[in-house]
Amino acid sequence: MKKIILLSWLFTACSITIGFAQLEGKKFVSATVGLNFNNTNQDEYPTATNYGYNIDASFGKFKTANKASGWNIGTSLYGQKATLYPDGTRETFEGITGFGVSTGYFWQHYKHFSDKFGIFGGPHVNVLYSYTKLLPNQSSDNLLHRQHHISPQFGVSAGAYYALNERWWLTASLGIANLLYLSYTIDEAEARPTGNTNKTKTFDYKLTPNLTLPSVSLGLRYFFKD
Amino acid sequence: MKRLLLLLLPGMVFLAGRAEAQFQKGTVHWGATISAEGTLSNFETYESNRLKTGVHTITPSVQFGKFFKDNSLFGARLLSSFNYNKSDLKGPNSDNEYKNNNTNLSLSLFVRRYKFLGEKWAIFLEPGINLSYYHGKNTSDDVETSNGYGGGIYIRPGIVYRVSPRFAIESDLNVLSLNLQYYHMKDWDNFHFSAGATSGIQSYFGLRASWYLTQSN
Repeated sequence: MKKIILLSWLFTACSITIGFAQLEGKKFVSATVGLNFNNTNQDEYPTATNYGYNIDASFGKFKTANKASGWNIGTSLYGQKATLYPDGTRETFEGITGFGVSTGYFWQHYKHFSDKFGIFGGPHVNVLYSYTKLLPNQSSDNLLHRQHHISPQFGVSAGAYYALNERWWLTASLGIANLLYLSYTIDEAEARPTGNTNKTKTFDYKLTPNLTLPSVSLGLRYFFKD
Repeated sequence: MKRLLLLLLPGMVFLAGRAEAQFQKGTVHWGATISAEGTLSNFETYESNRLKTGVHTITPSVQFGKFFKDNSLFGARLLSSFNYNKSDLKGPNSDNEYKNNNTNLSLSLFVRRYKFLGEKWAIFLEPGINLSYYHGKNTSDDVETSNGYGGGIYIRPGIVYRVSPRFAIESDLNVLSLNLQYYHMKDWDNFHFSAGATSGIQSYFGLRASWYLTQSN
């Protein structure tokens, strides 16, 4: 009886080790892609159009069976066509109303409970730049806003995975802590049609050792062939 | 999760090993946390008015305790909160400066009873009393100060994760809390009672680094 237990234990240990060893050197990608387009056509009003996309991707590599690191990149672009009536005069806005780029690096440590299931967590750094144009009808003060925003962040996050097969993992985020957050925003608010402009520069910082439990978001991860 | 917590505070020592599933009598406990946040802004109008504002809050906290018997701790916590507000308006027709500084100091004396849920996790219940002092100062055309004193009792649960036998991360959970506060200010008295129970865990909770140092080591 003892021998059987010992043997089965050895077998389990071996199979787990083999399962993990396969991870070393593996490269993976996960991405979210969003596209939107909408068109509003009202009687007696000109057509209004909104469109945009966002792509966020992370590329990682397992250095060992329990350690992975990689890059996050993201980009988004939004545009619209709208007709407004500031001061009763008709004005048409057409073009890009926002875009953003972000990049970052992440480190993840894994704890594999079986060859199917495990958890991971680790720190990440990110820098985000975005440009936003708020049309007068979208801002509370009826001014045309142009905003440049840059924000470096440092945090830790945790997640869990379930291996669907050799190529695909299902991942879920479990918790996130934004330990350090900095942001710098330049906002120019222009009154139409006079062109008088107010300018605001804002610097924010936050050091918060808080753990936030997010609403669980699911993702898919694809492993490349060697 | 272990690694996540491990990486929360750089520079701490990870000592893998067996953890005794209890805190022994005589063990000394230290804990500390800090948070800070603020905003600086500069607003310029086309009429060359300029408004500069600054808001800063920093909240450090330290605590100390000693186990008077196994899994029972007597401790004291000093919680302070410093708040600085400043605004400065300059323009062709105006020149105004306003400052507002607040300081809050709070001393809590508490007892904790721990219960281990395995080797790494423990929960505790902490009843305590707190005494607080408030000092506020407003500066615009003239200086105005206000002082206040407060006292209260509370009870709240918490959770501890032992990263190593000596180091742990802990968090107070506001799942069930009871708080009685009395404030005496210069011009007014305020008696405040709050009691609450929530069924869910709040979406974020503050973390505290804590050390448990056994005397025999």
